[in-house]
Amino acid sequence: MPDGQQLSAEVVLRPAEPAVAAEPITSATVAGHAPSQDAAAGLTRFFRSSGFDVGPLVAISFTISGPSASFRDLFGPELPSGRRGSLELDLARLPDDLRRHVLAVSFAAPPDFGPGSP
Amino acid sequence: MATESASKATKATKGVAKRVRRPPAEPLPPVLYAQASPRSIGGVGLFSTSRSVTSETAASYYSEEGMIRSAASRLQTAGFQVLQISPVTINIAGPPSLFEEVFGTRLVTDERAVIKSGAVETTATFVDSPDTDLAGLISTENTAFADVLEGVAIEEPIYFMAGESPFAPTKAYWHLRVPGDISAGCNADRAHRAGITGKGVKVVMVDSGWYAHPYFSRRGYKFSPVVLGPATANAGDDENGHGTGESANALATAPGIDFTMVKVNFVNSIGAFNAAAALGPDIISCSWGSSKQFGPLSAADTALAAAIASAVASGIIVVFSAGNGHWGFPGQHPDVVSVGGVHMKPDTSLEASSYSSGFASNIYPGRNVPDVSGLVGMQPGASYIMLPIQSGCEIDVSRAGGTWPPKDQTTASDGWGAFSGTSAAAPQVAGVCALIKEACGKLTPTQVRSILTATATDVTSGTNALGNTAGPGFDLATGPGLVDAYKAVLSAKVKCIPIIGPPVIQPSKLIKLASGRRLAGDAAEEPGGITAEDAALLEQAILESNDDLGL
Repeated sequence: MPDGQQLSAEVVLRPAEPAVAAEPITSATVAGHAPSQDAAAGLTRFFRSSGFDVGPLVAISFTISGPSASFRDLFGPELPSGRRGSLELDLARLPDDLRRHVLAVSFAAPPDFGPGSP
Repeated sequence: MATESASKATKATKGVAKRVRRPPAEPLPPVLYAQASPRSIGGVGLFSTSRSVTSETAASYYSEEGMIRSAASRLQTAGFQVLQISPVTINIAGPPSLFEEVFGTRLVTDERAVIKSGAVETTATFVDSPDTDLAGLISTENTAFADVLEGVAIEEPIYFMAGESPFAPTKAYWHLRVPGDISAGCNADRAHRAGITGKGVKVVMVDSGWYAHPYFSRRGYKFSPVVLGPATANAGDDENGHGTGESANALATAPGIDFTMVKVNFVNSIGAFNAAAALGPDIISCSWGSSKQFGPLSAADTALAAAIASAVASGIIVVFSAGNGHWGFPGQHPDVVSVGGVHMKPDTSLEASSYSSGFASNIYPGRNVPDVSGLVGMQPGASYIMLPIQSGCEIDVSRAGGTWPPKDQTTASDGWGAFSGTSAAAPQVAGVCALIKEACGKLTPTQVRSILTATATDVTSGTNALGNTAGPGFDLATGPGLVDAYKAVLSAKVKCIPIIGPPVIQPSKLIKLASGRRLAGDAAEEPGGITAEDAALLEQAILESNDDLGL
């Protein structure tokens, strides 16, 4: 994959209140799953300083976008090329105080139906 | 054996504009399409002739049937996908590396000036073999195919193939056409004639992109510019065709909507969904998903569930396909309007689509889908609705030619393709949601879904792709049945009757307008207005009355 290719992944945050993590997220419960706003702000700053474009926090996640080289630098060499399933990136290089708030940094799986398989 | 091949030595440009080679600006595409020419019976190759190929001379470039069969078979054995076979050429597809390996060449990209529709001067990426002098030609000389092929012509960018017709091609097999057949099949025509078209309602679709096909401009639909989701490009193109085609389904049931496409690359569908929600629409329509029979959900799916829940909590109606033989997620999420499939036969009788999903969710106990169904074809391939797409796009090519079903017997570059699935049903229902919102803007997503379910036409025969059989009432084959736009709009209008306290309404006017029949018993006689309970009775009575009248 060329270093300049633009990629986009989703940073999924843990809820500020861990007790709710097991319950399904619906319109009635989603507010209870909200992450720590301080953690979200800290992660936003961190990813911006690491060279990513960072989208707004929506519900429990936000988008980071950037060249594949930026992803490799932070998450290691495995990037979504020719894969079938979703891909969760290695969080080891995230700062400890921020990593504990992150459930996953994920490339979503390509859909099983829709474009390509109408 | 024929004596001429597209050799390196004998090529001439033959009227082809001189190429200016520059360093490649774009990578090779993942899939390359080409026309392989079996050796011509006239002895002079299609790519080396100095004569013009016209209707008068075309026969000399035909190939013997045995030669064509042999060439096609060997191409398949070599790993190519054979898309279509004509008397002159074999349409093939495969990765560029396969072309390079089989034909002993290397392929490069070349940026050339082109003029797109609307006289827009720009550049486009062409793929070429530097070994030949004829633009886009791969030589077969000194390859294992030299005895059966006289050359392989690489397909050129679709920009040059402008001129899609705004009118769908006519085909003899049973299929539906947009907008008329979809609108009539979903009983939306009557709502349109009553002045409800979705006007003022903003619908956003998250899909492969949107192409300005003449089908749309000819009909005067209202479109906002395509919004690029994360890590996407080329806002003017829909390389796959799926999004463009499905948008025609939404506009068939709701021609007055303000439509926006968010282009997604499906490596970050959550980001694209959130981009759609950020536009503040009334409705988001998604014709995609993954099969998730059991939990737990992955982190990505959890985030997508949260994004959907957040959108619905803010009042956005979110519509998802239930799946095509899949345990569709997010189609089973508790907050979405989950859409299944019903097949309408030529005599207008209905049956569950054998292509569509309906199931009891294991992830969300008690959640049964679909909530309602749209129009979908049958196995194999559900090649059922003739839809406008960007000429030469993936669907245009993959569905082209062959035998229906699943092929659609259109050409690979005509800008039309027959396909459906719950991908088509979801935007049909999203359009009906828009009609409901126009009729009664205050309704919540849950209320809109309830209306869709309560007013659907029951389907009592057929079995869906997961083996669930339709019967009277709600079932896991079609849910409550096929969406009925007109009944849904009527129901929505009644919901907007003020019921906060007397006196607020003169029910007798409604009764007279609907049927002239006395409705809702004593409630209709009371001068002080109606209660919520009476309103529900009144709504049911209006629907029953209209049924009596055949409306």
